[in-house]
Amino acid sequence: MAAREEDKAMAGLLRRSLARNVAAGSGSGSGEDCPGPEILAAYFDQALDAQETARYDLHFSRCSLCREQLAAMARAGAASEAKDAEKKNASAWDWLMGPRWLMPAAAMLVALLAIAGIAWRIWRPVAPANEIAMAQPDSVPGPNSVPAPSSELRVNPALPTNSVPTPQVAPPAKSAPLGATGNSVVPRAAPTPGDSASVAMEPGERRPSRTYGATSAGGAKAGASHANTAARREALSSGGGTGNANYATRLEAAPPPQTMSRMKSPEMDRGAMRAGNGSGVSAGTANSADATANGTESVQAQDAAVAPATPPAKKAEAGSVESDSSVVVPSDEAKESNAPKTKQPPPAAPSHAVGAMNLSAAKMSEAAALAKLQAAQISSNLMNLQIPTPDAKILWMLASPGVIEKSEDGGATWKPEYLETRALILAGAAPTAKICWLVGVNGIILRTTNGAHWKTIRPPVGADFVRVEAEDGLTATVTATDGRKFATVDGGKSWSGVK
Amino acid sequence: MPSSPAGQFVSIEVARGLLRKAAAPAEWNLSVERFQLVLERSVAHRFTKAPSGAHSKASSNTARGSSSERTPAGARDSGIETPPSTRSHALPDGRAIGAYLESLHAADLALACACGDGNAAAWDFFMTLFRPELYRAGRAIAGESAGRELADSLYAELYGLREVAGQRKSLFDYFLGRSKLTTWLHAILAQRHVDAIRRARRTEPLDEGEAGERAYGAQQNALGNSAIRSAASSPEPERNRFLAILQAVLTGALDALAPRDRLRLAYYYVEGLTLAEIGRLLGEHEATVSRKLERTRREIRNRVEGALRQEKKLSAAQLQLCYEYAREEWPFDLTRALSQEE
Repeated sequence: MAAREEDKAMAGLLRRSLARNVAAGSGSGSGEDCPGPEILAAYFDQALDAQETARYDLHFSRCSLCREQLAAMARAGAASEAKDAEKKNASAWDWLMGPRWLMPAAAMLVALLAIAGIAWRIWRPVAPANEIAMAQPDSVPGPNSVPAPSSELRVNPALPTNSVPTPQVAPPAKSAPLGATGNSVVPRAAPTPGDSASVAMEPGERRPSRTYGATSAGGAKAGASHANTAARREALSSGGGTGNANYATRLEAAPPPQTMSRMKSPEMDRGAMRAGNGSGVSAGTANSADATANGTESVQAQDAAVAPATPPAKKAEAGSVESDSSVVVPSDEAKESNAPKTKQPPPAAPSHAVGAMNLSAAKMSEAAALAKLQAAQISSNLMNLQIPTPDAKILWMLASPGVIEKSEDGGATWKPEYLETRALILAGAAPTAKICWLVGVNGIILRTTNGAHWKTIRPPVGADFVRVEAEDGLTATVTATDGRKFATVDGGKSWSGVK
Repeated sequence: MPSSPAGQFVSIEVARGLLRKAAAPAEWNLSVERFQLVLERSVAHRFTKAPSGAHSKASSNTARGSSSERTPAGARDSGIETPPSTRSHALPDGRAIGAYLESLHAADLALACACGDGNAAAWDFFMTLFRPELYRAGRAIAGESAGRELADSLYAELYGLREVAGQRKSLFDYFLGRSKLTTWLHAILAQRHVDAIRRARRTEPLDEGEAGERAYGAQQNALGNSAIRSAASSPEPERNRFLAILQAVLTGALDALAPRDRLRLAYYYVEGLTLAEIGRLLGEHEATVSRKLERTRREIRNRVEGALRQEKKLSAAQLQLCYEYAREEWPFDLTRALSQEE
């Protein structure tokens, strides 16, 4: 590694030399030749002509004062670009997001209705023949009802190998309400605005248009719940066992081919992205909501399908956190690749959600087996903190101390990267596909800016950090357990307290 | 407004056309004549600047804030009041002027002009569209609290009007439309922030950023330090010699670089910017920045090694020794430089 050592030596030398490399004549360094804001701005906007640009290139190459100013402008410019991007997404979502008060109320209502719906379906099974009768013709996507369960099982066993993407993921960077990337937090986080937003739009969208309004709302709620324990608590309280039967149903019912076709519509895509990789359910339901908004007819069936499915899923959550994620995964894949990573139709046609109600005993037992499988994964879940990135294919996951895993294919395969520390990581945020911040106990803050190497960042205090929001590789805010917040704009070289 | 013969560079018709292009709302009360004056000033600044950059100094001084001790020079608009001797004698080419005028951000210029005049409707507009951006940029540049202060003071200054010799002067007068208004605001924020940082930094002893404090040939200083250090650790007179040689050769190699390449290198090693930021500043893609940096590094390595071997007649082993000394010498730098390589 002699060459590398030499490079290191050069790096130090270069820095020193460049810093001292000043233009002859500008001895005072007070900026005699330095251009004013007008020129700096024009240079930055590349509005100077070739001759001027060359002249200033020369000056800047020797003037650290000007370079610092330009660097500051670059920071300001970066944030503004990100803001524009957000604005674009935000404006698209604005009409979907209702007033914030609506969400908790809607969530409550939805939960109650979901429970009611579950109870109704459980105690009133209908013969298989009815499935077809009830399914709307044009929305029957085909080979979904019966094959679903088995294919469903195919999907789920695969989950463990993927280290089960957990539903604990918060909405990714694109979530408009969040200024910066949201957090992935171990199952204690409250519903984030993004999630709530998806719930908010559900009731608003759905109520007017359908007969299965209640259950659809339930679906929405389930969607929102994936990223927090609220739903889980409810599921737990409403009992677990019976949920299994409907669980398989719901798996069938979740958004699949139809959803995939819907994926083309912009709202769908945004729904997918906003929900993040770990939130397939909400994506699914978001998609359904969008579809509803679009007023397409098969949506009705789809909604109905998703809806009945998701409440049961919540019940299943009583025992297994995985129930969410298993549905999540399929929808996940559906939306990520827009191509059947879901060759398994688990998120089977919504129309079959209608059929979901008519669960046969066989499906029930399969679902039970599935639920058991998922139950086994609950404990490992708590460690599987997953962090989505704006790129749907790229995810991070913390599966064991000292190691962070990265997937570049949406969760199908994972590659480990080693961290300098084995400390417990509590939260992470990935503002871009390559930049990721992690925070944890004892002031641990880690960051990568190229997606491969992790660097320990000096923390503001040695507290346990439970949350991080990051805009880019330099700008981030961390929150300690006691609520104190600290922000940096220079990659952690300095921190300032935030009120 | 200082008077330059109206229409010297910009005729009233051209001004009218540009004003229409700017689509300034009627409530801004921006007259064509007024806009013409602004355009004149802009053109004059562009084409009749004194080579010493006195104009930019004036504008940069004032834009640096009222805390500056130099005369605000607010009354001296860049370009208009220069003594005739410094003005270029040849009038700029009409076509060049035309092209320049076309390249201006007319709408931003109109807004700045109207705000500078204190028009309430224009201010409402500015406040709605630009104020949040100003604060956001302030925070991005200087952090939460310092950024807010920075934006506060700039905003207040923009808002305030000074009466100088019976004429209203506003900071907006310094905006000449060559860039976007937002970029210009960023530039002012950046300038003020860096000034503040440097004032605070002045207490630091080994601040290499204060280029002025180290004359070009001050490597003796560094060597003196290293001499002290190495004297303390292990007396190696040869070490100092090698380091001096290496430094000299490196400086030569750096000087031989194209300015843009040197600039890119400086952004990376001195300012510690990320590839993305450098790309933004140079108008290059991240990957291009990386590639070019690598190429420049190689170029320097080759030059340095070539010079060491040929001119200074160092053997391969001595070369290695040079590097080793350098590495020992600046471990601090290595950490910093490496930390930027993520």
